[in-house]
Amino acid sequence: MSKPFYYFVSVGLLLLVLLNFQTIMQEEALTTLEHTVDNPAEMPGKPFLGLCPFLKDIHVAGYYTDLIYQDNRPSIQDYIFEQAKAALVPTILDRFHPGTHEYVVMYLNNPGSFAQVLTWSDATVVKRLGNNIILLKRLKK
Amino acid sequence: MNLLLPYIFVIILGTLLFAIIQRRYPHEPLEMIVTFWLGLGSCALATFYTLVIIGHYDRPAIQTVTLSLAGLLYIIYRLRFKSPSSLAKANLTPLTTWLWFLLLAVLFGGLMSIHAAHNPFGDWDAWSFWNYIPRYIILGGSHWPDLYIYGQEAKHPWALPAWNVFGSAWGLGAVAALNIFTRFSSQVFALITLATVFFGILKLTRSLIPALLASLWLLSIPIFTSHSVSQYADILMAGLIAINMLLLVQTACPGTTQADATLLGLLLGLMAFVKDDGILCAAIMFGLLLWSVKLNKKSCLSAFGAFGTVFLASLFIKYWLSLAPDAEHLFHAPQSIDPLRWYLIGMDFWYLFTDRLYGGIVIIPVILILIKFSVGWKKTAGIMANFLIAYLVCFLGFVLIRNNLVNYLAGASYRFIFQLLPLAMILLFTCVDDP
Repeated sequence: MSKPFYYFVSVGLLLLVLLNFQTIMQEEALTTLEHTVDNPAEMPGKPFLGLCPFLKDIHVAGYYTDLIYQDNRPSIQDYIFEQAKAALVPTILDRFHPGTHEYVVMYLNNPGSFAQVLTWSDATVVKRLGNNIILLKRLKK
Repeated sequence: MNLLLPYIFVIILGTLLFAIIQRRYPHEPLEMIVTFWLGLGSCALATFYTLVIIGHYDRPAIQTVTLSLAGLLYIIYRLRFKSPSSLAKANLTPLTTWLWFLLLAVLFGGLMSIHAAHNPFGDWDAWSFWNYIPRYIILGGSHWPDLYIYGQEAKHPWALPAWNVFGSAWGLGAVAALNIFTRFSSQVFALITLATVFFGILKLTRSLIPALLASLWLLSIPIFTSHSVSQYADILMAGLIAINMLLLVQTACPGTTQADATLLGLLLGLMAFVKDDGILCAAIMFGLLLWSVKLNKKSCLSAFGAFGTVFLASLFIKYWLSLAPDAEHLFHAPQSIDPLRWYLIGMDFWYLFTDRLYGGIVIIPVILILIKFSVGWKKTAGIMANFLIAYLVCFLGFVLIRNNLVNYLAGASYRFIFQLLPLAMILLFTCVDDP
């Protein structure tokens, strides 16, 4: 590459670099890049951490959701379950037989489901986090 | 110090492996980078197999395996080199070059720290895979393989959780500190990737200015800086693609030894261990190795043997992957001919290339195409470009048959571009300086 062209390209690139730095420093750009900080939808497992103190000595707890599992297909309920079980470990979550455990972690998507759950005669709400996450305690069987 | 201790093992294991294979110490910066990846891969694999054999997370067991591996490598090293003088003498890189890189590293480190401070848990992958999977492995006892059985997690990075568990075993120990280690690791990986671009261009062009300009441009791209510390698996892939391609190009040069091919094979295996995309990249690069580089039989066998050795680990994990829910519903081949899908993909790429957060990378394909049709590319640039084209074709093929295209594009296309950015920089500046 000839020398004048070399300098021309270098100066052009340096200008581009300066423009990029300006973009980084602009508040709007930072907001766009870091929009997920406070967005729980991006991190469905994070809110489950609030149940940790209540499950301290519990080895296995049930996990119940009103989201429908679709024929062995991975989807949003899988994401939520995977994140919930990692957030609550060392308590192991059993999603296949939730009713057989003393404690049941619930993820309810439909507001009507909560009213239905409260009709369970042997269940008391230990902790409710927002509208979706509930920890229930059932009578020992 | 606790944060650095895992990295000290990376350096020890990597250097021993490099010395055993190459019969000399690493003396060029790029060889040091290769050493780093070799060490990281060894530590991750050792941790993974310890978990498999012991059946649960056991801190003393991981420490014992690491020390035994280091001891074993040292014995092989001593047996192979009875007199240390038989090792080649170092050919040092000028101090000024290191100072320039240090300046870039400080600048990049500062920018990354701003992003990391604003986003301490990273984005989706970082939160779920780098922090959650190791957390489950450490605290879940014998239930740890559950992670690989159901759900989506089985389809995602494997080397990274193993590396994080290794970091926990040798480093801070407490699970709460995992977050600090992941953040630190992401910054280290990003710096290693920047070093690959800087020293890679320096080696190919033998000129400091293009290396400086490329690195400065790369670290100033907003999405590169932020994504490096938020989606850790992608920065690992970006770094590995760049270093593997440089090794592949080096293997194409006359005077290549069997040892070079072995190193390439090992790093390709590591790439396959990191991510599903890595398996595809490793397969493409292996194809290029056979087709463009035309190695002799012995070197080819060495590369294949090394690749296979590490790839076995991936296959082992694939056993669990096979138990994960089937993904047939994700794809539907006939819809690939729908013009609307082509239009959507085209618009998505156009948006990504022209958005200001992507720092003007639209220039890269334009200049590369101009060079191709005006003066043509040299062999080294041709190999790199062939990889980029092959990977792009595979990605497009994958996207075209994918259901739920819009959602998938929103989460995947920017990662695809991000992974290829360092390599694209190396290719561009190599072509511009000496087409």
